[in-house]
Amino acid sequence: MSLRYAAEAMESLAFTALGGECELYGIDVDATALARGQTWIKTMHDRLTRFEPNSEVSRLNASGGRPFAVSADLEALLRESLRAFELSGGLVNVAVLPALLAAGYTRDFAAGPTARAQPPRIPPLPEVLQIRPGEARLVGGGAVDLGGIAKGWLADRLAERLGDNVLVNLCGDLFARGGGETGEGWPVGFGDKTLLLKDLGAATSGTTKRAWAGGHHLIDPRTGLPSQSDLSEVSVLASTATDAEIYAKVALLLGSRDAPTWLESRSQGWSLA
Amino acid sequence: MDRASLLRASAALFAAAAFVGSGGYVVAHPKNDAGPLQPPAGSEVALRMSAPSATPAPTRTGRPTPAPRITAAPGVKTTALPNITFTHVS
Repeated sequence: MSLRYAAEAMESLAFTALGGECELYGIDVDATALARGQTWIKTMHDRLTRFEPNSEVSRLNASGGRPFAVSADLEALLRESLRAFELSGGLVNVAVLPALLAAGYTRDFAAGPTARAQPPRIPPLPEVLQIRPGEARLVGGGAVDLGGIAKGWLADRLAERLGDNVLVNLCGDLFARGGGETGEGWPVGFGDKTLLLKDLGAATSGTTKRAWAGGHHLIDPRTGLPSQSDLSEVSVLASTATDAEIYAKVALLLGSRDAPTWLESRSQGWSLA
Repeated sequence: MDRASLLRASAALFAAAAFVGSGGYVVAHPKNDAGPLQPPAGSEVALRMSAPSATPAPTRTGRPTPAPRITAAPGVKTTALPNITFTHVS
């Protein structure tokens, strides 16, 4: 196989953020551009985490139904969350935070779960989230956790910023832009295969991590409880990392019987386990 | 020959015979690196006995973890190249 690019033209950077390992790869991308990307991701982490009381998301959740001035990035992510809700028929709902807390996921996962409580009803996202330019409002006691959608969205945004031939992997949710070193695609592990991804996103949803005795972090909005799906891990390809993340979560919640039919018309590939 | 001398001669003769006999045995049985192991550790039975038993991976639910079922659109190629990264649960 002929290489269109010299191996040394590829820059890479690995770092920890968003609760996991992040990797950036770029062909003909300056190392300082990757470093700037890392800084941006860490800044967004600080802004979006629900585990820091002074983060932008925590202050939005604590705003008590009053209009809250949001940054352009958070506004865009909240609008994307509404799109995810519509796209998924309500199965991807960032307003699951009260249910996550009731399930015992009240603090950083490393600190361990806390006692469980009665699961609350999870309202449809459009009922509790109102957005206007520069402003968001959570009503009816709604609270959001963006952990289920932010990584894919950030991977898409950072890939756009970095260049035409880059791969951004944020804790397993990734976007491969351009053809990689060979021009045919970036070699990415997917299930038990390696696929060549070109202008495609990939994401994995599962219940095998961030799990504890009697629970895990993947809440089914239909019940307010941790999912009881017969699938434990779903990886999905889509035209963006955001959509891949949405599709993976929907497929996992639907289970092995209905997931393939749902994915058939939407996804470029999937792995169910 | 008195009794004591007879005993000494017999002992010397016995020691010489043992020396010559053991030397002959060693010369007649050179080490064979290709020879079978004793006991037959490489035999099928021994291999079957020493093979590790299948231990199911620990899962939260206790259900066995099946191999992933992968479906990919025709435009998505697989490769024998090593991956540089992978998608996974976070």
